[in-house]
Amino acid sequence: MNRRSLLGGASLAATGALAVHETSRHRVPDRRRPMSRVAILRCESYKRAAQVVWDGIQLLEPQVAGKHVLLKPNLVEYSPSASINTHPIVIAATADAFYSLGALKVLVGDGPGHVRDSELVLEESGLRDALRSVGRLRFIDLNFDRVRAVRTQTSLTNLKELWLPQSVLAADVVVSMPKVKTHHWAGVTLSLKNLFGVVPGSVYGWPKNILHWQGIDNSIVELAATVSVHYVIADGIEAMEGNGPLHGPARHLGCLVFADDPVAADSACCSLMDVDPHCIRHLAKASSLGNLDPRRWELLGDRIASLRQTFQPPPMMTFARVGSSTPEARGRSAP
Amino acid sequence: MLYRREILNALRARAVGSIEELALRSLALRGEWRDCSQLFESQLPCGGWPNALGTSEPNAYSTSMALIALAHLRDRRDARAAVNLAFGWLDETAGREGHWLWRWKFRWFDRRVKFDTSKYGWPWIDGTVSWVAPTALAVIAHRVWKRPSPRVERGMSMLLDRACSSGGWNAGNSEAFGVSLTAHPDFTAMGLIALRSCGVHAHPAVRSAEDYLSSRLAASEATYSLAWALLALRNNPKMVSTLRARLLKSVKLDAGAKPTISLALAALALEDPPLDLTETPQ
Repeated sequence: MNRRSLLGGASLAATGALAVHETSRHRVPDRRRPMSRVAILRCESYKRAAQVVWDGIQLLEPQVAGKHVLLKPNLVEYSPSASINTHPIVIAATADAFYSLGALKVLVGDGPGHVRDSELVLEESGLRDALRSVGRLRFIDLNFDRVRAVRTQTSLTNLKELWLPQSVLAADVVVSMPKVKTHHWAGVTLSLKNLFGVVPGSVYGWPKNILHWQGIDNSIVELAATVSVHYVIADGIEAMEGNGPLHGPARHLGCLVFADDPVAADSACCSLMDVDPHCIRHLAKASSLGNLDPRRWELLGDRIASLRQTFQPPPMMTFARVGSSTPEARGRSAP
Repeated sequence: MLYRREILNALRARAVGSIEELALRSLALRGEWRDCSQLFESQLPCGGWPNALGTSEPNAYSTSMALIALAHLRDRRDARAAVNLAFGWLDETAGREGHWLWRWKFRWFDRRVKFDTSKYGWPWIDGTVSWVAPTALAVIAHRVWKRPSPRVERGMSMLLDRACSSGGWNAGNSEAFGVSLTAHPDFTAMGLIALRSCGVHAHPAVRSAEDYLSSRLAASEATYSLAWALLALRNNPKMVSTLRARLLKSVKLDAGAKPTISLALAALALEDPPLDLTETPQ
């Protein structure tokens, strides 16, 4: 063996080792089930939302009897002119439904990203009064909850551990309840991006800027791999397009989305917004955490195609539309 | 004031889980209890304080809050070593945009968020950019300990640069993606207290922040924001009277369920006159 072949072999081995290292470093756990349940129910106004929430939850057949349930809405900040937060009626109806199904305790918890005063957001958004109307329902500000360190499940970020709120870690069932919106950094903000709200501001600050510096897509996937979301109830009655998550115009999508798989839920919501889910980076990266592919959904309720609307993308961003990217994607597009 | 006594009773019974809670509760109870041992014990070897107790990430906001509390609680000589260490850490900690590489990035490649990168302050935690709350509190901490530092000037200029066009301060920027952002009451109050502590009283950003804060909470019962507003507008007798009445009503609604931070701030704001965070008894 001469020196040239020795050097060539060594560099080939080094490249291979680096490739293997990088592949394993970025590996996301495979949590796909054979089938996920997704239900999309038409709901033209919030006046009907309580009944539709009950119908949708029954389709999911959640096992919550005797369990502690945490509802994680999307509570950012209040603006009378923008459709920013998960609607209080949807949250209250969900809590009511879970109590009716035998849940031992239901908590509503969120840690707003820019606002330290959740009392002000609860008051102005109407959520405080909605929670009172249900009774037995407490709001936990996850920004100020007691915290515990949890090892991260991937190495997508440099964070070896995440400090997470006890209320999230202690819950038997976590329900992510996003508002269907576009997002100027992440493309869309749905059940996975909604997990930014479980990261405590008391440790990481307002906003949770460390997650942006670790890469927003990687941080979303890291959180999704670390925090189990059991169900999703997405508020798509009044959604947001364009410059979301705060300043985009409202878009009346007229539906609620229910799922037992956050990846499937987000994929379905993308399809409703006429956004190819495979082109949303964090969703593509999280594809082993659930079923992105609609062929692995048990789809209940309305057909996506009957409700789909073309949402405007955020500034400086374009969306690949459903069925427009590749022949393979067209074959996979949701019914 | 009778109800303030009840707030203090409630605070005495509270366990604390963060430096912010510990510092504010200690400040609220300073008339009867000046034990700072828990604050000293939770200081990290680097000099900073974490926020959540038991964690080890130094945090500029809680470090500044601890320094402000120590200034009001202690004979300054007793705290000298801890305080010097803490200011050493604060001096070394800067928003990421303070580094030439990131300044270059924000100036030439990333214009989605608008701010002058030469004007930077303090981040919440290391490895992130400057934000209003930690910068304002770090400025107050420097002023209350009478620590001259070029960082104070720079922090002030950052606050002035990032004031919202409609008055007050958002979390960190005045504009993102071409949209003017709106202010938040607590960050506005912190910014106002910080600038006034440096003698900035007549700047248009100060005037418009006062206007914003005077009107923003007209119908609110949110304890935490009302208390910060009262601490910031303590020199305006009319606003003190209005905000005091609303704050009292807010606390009485459900004092037992209020977070410790909100209760402690309410106790400080309901002092007569409201506590001046920037001045300590000599």
